[in-house]
Amino acid sequence: MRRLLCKYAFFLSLLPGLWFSGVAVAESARQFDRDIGRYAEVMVTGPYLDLHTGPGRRYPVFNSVPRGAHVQIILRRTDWFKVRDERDREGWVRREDIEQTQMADGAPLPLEDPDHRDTDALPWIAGAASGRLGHSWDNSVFVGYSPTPRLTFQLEGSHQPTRSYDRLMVLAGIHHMPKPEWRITPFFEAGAGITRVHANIGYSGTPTLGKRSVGYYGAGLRWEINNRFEFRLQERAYLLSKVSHPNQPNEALNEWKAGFAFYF
Amino acid sequence: MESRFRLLLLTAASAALSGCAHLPHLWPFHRHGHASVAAVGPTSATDNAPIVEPDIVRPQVKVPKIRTSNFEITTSLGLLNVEQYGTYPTVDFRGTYHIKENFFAEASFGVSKLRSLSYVDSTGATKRFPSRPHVYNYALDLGYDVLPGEAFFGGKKAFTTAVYVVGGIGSLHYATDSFYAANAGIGYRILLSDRFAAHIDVRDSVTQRSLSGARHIANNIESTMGLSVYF
Repeated sequence: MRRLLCKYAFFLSLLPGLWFSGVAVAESARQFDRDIGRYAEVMVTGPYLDLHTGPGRRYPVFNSVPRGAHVQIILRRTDWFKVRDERDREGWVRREDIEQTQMADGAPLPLEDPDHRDTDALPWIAGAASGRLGHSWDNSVFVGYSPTPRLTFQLEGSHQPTRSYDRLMVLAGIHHMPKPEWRITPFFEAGAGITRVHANIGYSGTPTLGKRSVGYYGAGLRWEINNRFEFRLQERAYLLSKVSHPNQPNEALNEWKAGFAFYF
Repeated sequence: MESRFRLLLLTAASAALSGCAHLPHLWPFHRHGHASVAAVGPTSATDNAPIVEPDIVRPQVKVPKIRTSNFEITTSLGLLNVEQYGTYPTVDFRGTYHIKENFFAEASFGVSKLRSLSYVDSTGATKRFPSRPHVYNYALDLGYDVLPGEAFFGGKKAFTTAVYVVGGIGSLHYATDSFYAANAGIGYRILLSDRFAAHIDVRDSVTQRSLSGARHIANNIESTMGLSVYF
C-alpha cells in the first residue's frame, strides 16, 4: 500500500489542485457570470424583489431576491420582466417591482412606458373592426403609421362575405385626430382604393361584379382603454365608380363598424 | 455696598459687549473692518477654488437593450367540422399580439380541403362539385387568460401554462358560399421556453345559413394543436 502511494504520489499531489480548479470552473459556470454584459443588470434597492413563476399577477411567487443583490433582465413581455439572480434563479418580476432597482451608476433603469401620443416610441397601429356595409356584415383589418400624434397613414383590407358574393376592398387613407390628448376623442378620415366583387353560387345579379375604384370619408370615436389599446366606433360613406355603362350612376354605400386597435 | 454696585455694573457691561459681538451687522465700523480683513485675504476667485481637486470619473454604463417578446406566431394542425359537409384536416396560421399580461389580440387564417364532392344548395337539392373544394376561414379575436397556472413534469421541471378564452368575428368560405361568422373558443397554452409555446384550441365559428328558405345557425367546430414562436 505504501509502495503504491509512493508510486502515485505525484498524481495524488495534483488532487487538491484539481479540486480547487474544479471549484473555479464551477464558479465561472454560473450563467449569471457568463451573461455579464449581455443583459441589463440592476441592483435591488427595495426591501426585496418577488419572483413569480410566470408573467402575470396570478402566477405564484416562488422566491425573492434580497436588497443589494443583482439581477439580470433577460426578457420583457408586456409589463413583466424575466430576471436571473446571482444564484441563477429565474423568475418574472412585475414592472412596479423592477422600478425598485438601480443600475451600476446609481440611476434608475430607463423603462419605456409610452402611449400612442409618443409617436417616436409607438409609431405603428394595427387593428380590426366589423360592422354593416350596405345590407351585409363586413370585416376589416388595418395597419397604420403615425408620424405625429394627430395624423395616421392607414392601409386597410376589408371583406364582405355573403352567400351570393364576396366583396374585397383595399384602401389607403389619412386619419386625423384633432385632440389626441383626450381619452375619448373624435377622428376624421378620408381615402381611396379599389374594390372587387366575386360571385358565389347564389349570385343574383347585384352588386356589379368586377373591379372598381372607391373613395370614402368618415368620422368616428376612439376610446383609449390603456396606453396601447383602444376601441373604435365609426361611420363611413363610400362612393364606388362606374364600371362599364356610362349612364350607370355611381354606387354609394354606407358603413358603420366597431373594432379595436393597438399600438406598437 | 460700593463693591456690589461695581460688580453689578461690570457684569452688565460685559454682557452688553458680548451681545454686541453677536450683532456685528449693526455696527458700520465692524462691516468696514470685516471688509478690510477680506481685502488682505485671498481673492474671491481663489477663495471658491477647492483645496483638493476631486478626481471623479463617472462610469459610462452602457445598458444592453431589454429584449421584448410581445408577438407570437402559431402554426396549428387539426380537424375542422363544417356542419352538413363533414370533418376535414385543417391547417391554421395565427398571429397574436400580447397587449397586457392577460389580454391579447389575434388574427388567424385556416385552410382545409373538403373530401365530399356533393353539397346541398339553397333549395335543399344535392349537387356535385367539379373538383374537391377548399374551405377558408379567418378570425379576428380578442383573448383573455382566465386560468394561469403551471404544469409539472417530474419533480423538478415546471412549465408556465394558461387557459384562455377568445371571441371575435370572422368569415367562413366553403364550397360555394361565404359566411360572416362569430367566433368563440377556449385554448390551453404551455410555455416550453421563453421563445416557444404549445397550444391546444377548440373554436366554434357560428354562421347563419338560409337552407331551403329557413334560417339555420350552423356551428363549425375546429380542434387544433400547434406550436408558436414568440418574438
